[in-house]
Amino acid sequence: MGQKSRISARKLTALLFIIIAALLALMILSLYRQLSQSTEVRSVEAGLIEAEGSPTIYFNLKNIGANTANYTYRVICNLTAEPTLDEGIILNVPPGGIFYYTIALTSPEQGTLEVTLEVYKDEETVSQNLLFRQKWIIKG
Amino acid sequence: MQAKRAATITAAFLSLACLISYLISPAWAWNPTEMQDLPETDNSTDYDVSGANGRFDIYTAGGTNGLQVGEDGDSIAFLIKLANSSEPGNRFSIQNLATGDQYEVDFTIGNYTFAILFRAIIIRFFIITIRIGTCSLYYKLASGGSWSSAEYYLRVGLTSGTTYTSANGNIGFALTNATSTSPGSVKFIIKKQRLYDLGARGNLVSDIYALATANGNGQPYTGTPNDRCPSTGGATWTLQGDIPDLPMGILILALPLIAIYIYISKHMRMIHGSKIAH
Repeated sequence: MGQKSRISARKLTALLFIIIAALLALMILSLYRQLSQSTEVRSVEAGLIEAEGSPTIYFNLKNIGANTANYTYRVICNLTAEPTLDEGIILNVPPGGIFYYTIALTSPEQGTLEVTLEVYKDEETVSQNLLFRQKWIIKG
Repeated sequence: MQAKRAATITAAFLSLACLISYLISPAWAWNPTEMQDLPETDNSTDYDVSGANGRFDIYTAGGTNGLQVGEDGDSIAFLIKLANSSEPGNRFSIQNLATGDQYEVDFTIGNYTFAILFRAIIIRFFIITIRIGTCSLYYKLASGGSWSSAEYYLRVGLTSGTTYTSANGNIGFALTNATSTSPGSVKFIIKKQRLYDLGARGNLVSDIYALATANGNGQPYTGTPNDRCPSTGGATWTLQGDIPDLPMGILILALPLIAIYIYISKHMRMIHGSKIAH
């Protein structure tokens, strides 16, 4: 009876250690994922969300430098009277800080909408400061 | 013994479930709908610069609180009431917005001051008028310093009563037209987690005030102020949940692990004890 109890206790202990080991492995994986996100080298991540009637462009700008920095962005569109649909300065992003940008447009009734996003380091939109440039073509 | 084993296995599975739910972001209700009047906001300073019309008039008539606040598990919300008027051209409405019209709420949580603001941009192209709304979130140290940009959301095309949300869901806004009898409003929604990421801690929101300004450039406290509510100082609001709620995943995960550890410790002692007895 005592030996049987010891065997089942050992099995139980082994099972518990396996479960705890699995939990620890998952926690380490989670931490690794967070660390790898924080050390990623890309500073701008952008995309298009094709929502019904309202295409949305976004970008996430992360300051991967060692100092607080300013940035400038410009959104250029082919269907507006002025080609620059939106532009602005992103102020004082601290090291590791993230700025999130979203622009929700309306789908063109006909033709195609061409949207170009440009992100620059500092406050001058000159080519040597260009960090990111991407164009999206949205059909009506 | 069987009962203990079942309890232990259940605890282990609960731990796993908690860990998985922690790794996967929870989906919360995002838009606090139950708004309540914010005390201490029953007065405002109507600067009425250059005879600017009533679309900037924060509604505090008859001791009414001009600001409202709301909260759910995920987000907080601020609402600026804007006065009704019998003159359609002299009240807040999307049709009456002009470029640079800016509505702003400033508030402090912990060591950081935040500003969330709406700014209108109106583009006229022949007979077409495009109404654009932008919503920005800024923050800075409460002790001073310069504003930092955190979020920016631009929306082409605006409708009264519709809530617009940025792509990541961190900020949003809703405009409601005033009528001849009922006030209009500008409502802002901000995710608690984003505020936490920017340095907000605790549950006390202080120095809350709203500004309605003309010719703003989209940054806090720019343009010509037309109205401020309250007229001096700021209101205070205590959140039911901290910014953000505790990292419950870790907490819930830790408790069963502690229980398992205690159980194993006791169990091992029992096994070793029985060995000595033999």
